[in-house]
Amino acid sequence: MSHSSTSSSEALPAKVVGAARFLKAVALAAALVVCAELLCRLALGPLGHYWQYWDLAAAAKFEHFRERARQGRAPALLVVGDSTGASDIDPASVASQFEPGVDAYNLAWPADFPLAFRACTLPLLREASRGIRVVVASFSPRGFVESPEADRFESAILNSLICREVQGRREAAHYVYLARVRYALPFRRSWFTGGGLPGPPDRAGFMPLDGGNQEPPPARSASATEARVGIVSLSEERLRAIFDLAELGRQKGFRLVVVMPPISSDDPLVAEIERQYMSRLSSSRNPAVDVIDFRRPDFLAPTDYKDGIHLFADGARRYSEHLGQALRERLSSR
Amino acid sequence: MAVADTLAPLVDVRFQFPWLVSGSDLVWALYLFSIQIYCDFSGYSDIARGVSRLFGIDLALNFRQPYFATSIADFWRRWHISLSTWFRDYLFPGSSQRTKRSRWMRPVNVRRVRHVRRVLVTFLVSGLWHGASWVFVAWGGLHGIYVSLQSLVSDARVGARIATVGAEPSRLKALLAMVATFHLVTFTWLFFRAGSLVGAWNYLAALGRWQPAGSIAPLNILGVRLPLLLMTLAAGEILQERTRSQTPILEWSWLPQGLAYAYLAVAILVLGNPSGDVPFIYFQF
Repeated sequence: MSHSSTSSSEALPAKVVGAARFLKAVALAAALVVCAELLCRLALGPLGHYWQYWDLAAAAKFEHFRERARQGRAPALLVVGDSTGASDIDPASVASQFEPGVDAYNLAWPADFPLAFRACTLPLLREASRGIRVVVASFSPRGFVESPEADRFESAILNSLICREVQGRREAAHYVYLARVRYALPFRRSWFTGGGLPGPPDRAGFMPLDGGNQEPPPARSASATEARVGIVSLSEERLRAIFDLAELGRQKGFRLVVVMPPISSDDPLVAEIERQYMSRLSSSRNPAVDVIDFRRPDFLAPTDYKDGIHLFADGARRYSEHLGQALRERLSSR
Repeated sequence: MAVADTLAPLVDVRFQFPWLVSGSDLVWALYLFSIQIYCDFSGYSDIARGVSRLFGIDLALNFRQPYFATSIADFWRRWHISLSTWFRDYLFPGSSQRTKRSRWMRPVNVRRVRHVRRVLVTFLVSGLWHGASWVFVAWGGLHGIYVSLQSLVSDARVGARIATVGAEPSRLKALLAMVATFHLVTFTWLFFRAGSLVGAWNYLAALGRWQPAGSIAPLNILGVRLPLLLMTLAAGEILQERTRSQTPILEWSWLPQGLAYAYLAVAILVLGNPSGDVPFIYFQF
């Protein structure tokens, strides 16, 4: 069978042949990409919000809390804050000081400093705080000072996809499932079915630090920090995390108690930051905030501290029992 | 751009906190920045060329696989071609004023000194073009020293009849020269990226200590994502270098062409960092 010369590709100009070839190639590529996207949607759909977190354990902790609140089983006592809350407060020890049936949950996370807390955790509490009676906020006062270290530690949370979504900073992965694949890889056994997603966190979210009975950490030279005492000041932007939480408590009907976490350091810079923090918490300009002060308590020995601000597990449990007693007295007195 | 934006956060944190990173991570971060800046700048240049062509304007090629250069002079024939050509055409001959001939110098030495001086001035100005900062002076100065040394060594080899003019170097020699050039260029990027001489010194000091990993998690160099992304980039570069074409895929038949586009699109989405919040490095210049 012979072809007419006008329909043979040899007779067409090279540009036309190239364009037709290019269009066919683009159509093929588009079809393949669409198929891949549909497959990803099918596979990753059951993962819910889990893939968006900066850490698997964080996904388990926060999503379990969200699920409990959705089912109307929010804990009566909720601990929020940074590592001083996550590692130092054992919800079971706190709840043991209350009547049976009062449950507690630890939603604090290392480096969930005020900016990250305000951007990511606070919106979750807005959505899921029904049934909560008391929120205990435990932040290291140093987290309220602007510093490159605080920025760096917070950035994992602030740049996480869950935080971006909450703030309306959506990116490709929020729309295109293909772009979620690498975030969803740790959950690959749960693809298609959703089965095998991380269960509730151990110890109701308490993240104890192993070890103990070591030599106390050597005291640092104060000379370098003394020079900064006169110039250090807390960030109003960071302090808003506490005041916004207090405001949310008023709206949602829970009580906010801010804890000054145990600390062993005598560093003058730390003391100055603590002084300013206490002063701002009790300032009449701001909504009243209940404060329980556990700085340098008698019931903790220097060997209970890992690094001056974090406690080993035994010390953390002892501190949590004292915190539970203090909370019970505080709540029953008002 | 997908490669550059993926590498950017990995590089940024290591240059910001070099004392919290292991020695090997600091070396990797330097390599990755070398790749990042190329992909970032070359990618934006290609986008500009493509958009211009839509309007019928044919912009000149700005990057031609610079990391395949076998010498620093060759690198500058392939990197930021528009700027380096401008410097070559307008600044380099402009600095060739008559020089007083020293009594002890033979004419050939005078020519060499003049040449070296011109090279150094050109590269120092090129450094200052990027910003009035000592790090850019150091960056330009290093390139000037590299090119000057290369021309002196080259002259000496010709004089000693070691090199055969016009002869192609062996493949192994070319590969070694390419690797050496890449490392020399990568070292200069340290100054470019550090932001200050103190920052560069801190980075070098941390590198010299070869410290163990600090609180920043080590790079997952042996994972899937980075190697696959870099291999995809390398495959494209090799293809362009071998075919001497910037658009070799367009020459393929529709089936492999379509498969290649699909792979690239999926690779960008799956392996890349398509968040769009990484600024173009050269916006600051």
